[in-house]
Amino acid sequence: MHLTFENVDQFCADVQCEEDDPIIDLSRITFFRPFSLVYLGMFLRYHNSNGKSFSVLPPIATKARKYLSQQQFWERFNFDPKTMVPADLTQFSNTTSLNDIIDIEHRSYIGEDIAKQVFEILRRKQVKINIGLFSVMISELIDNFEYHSQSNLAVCAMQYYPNLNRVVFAVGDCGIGIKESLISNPNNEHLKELSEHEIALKSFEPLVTRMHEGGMGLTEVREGIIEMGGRLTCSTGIGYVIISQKEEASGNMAHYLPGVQMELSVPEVA
Amino acid sequence: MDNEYRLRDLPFPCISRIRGKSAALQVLERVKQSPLHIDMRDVDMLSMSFMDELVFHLAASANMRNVVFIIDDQVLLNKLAHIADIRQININYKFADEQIKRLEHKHFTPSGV
Repeated sequence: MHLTFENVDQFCADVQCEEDDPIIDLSRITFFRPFSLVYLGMFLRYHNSNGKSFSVLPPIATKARKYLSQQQFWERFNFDPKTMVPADLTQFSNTTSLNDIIDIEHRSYIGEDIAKQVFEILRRKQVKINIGLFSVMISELIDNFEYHSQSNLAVCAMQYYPNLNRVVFAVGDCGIGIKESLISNPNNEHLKELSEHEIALKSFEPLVTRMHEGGMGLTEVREGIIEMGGRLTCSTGIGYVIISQKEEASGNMAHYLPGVQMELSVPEVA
Repeated sequence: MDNEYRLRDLPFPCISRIRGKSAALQVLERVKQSPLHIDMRDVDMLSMSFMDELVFHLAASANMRNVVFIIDDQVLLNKLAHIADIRQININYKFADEQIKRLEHKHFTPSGV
């Protein structure tokens, strides 16, 4: 079973969180898409910060189990993020491959730092996408975490699938989410009545922002993903958004998770 | 062109409003002296937020008519056109060996705002 954007919300909804020692059963998972890793990680962090810890049944499939182990998935997420000191964060480094999960701390220029390193990694690997545009989109997503999430820690994961000729980047936090952020601006009073997924979709329109200036970052992300023939998936609270050349859709997730979790999936050009 | 400002020579990436404002402050110093060409070609990463912030400060100081953006592809032109619409301003641009042209804004109304 692959864990992806399409099923990770239901997977989390099925965890019996009201029990004393809820079990996360990953035994049947054979493959983790970056979005699902980020979503599951934020699910753990959110509940940990509310005093809940989990037991886990690891994947039976060797590759999936080794992958989680290499990424120190449980050590990384099964803690209260407020207790994490910056020195313990795992940052991009020159030796970082395309397959690592990376913690993102809340600090100035974190967006451009991550974008620069993504740019260098993709160029070094000679990945055939518009690397500059992709890196700009990533910087916009991480800037949004820095400026709007009101949380101190996010996470990103990037994967390159050479056999599928595709690059996937996911980023997520468990902050205040898109709706609460946008309606904190009095100019957005009229958005209050909209659902989370309707507001999330609106946030990709020009000049829709929490601040007095700006409101172009997500617009550029939307246009970029369409131009590159890719697919964007985003969840925030109970809402989701999907954007690609073929579709622009929004609706409700099966599970409520605070913050914003987003994935960019882009095909290589021939 | 004597008075030329090359974004590719900046010591920071052109990808945020903060960086756009830093560039704008430098550009405003330069454009006081004479009309300025801002060369946007061959920049690894150039975001619309950066460009919008740069244009915003130029427009706020009534310097847009003294600036020409040099571009080399349709993607950059589309971004400039988008900013012209949103900011309700006219933007001068040129491809390398061509004449200067002007992007004139349409009447843009963001939905729901």
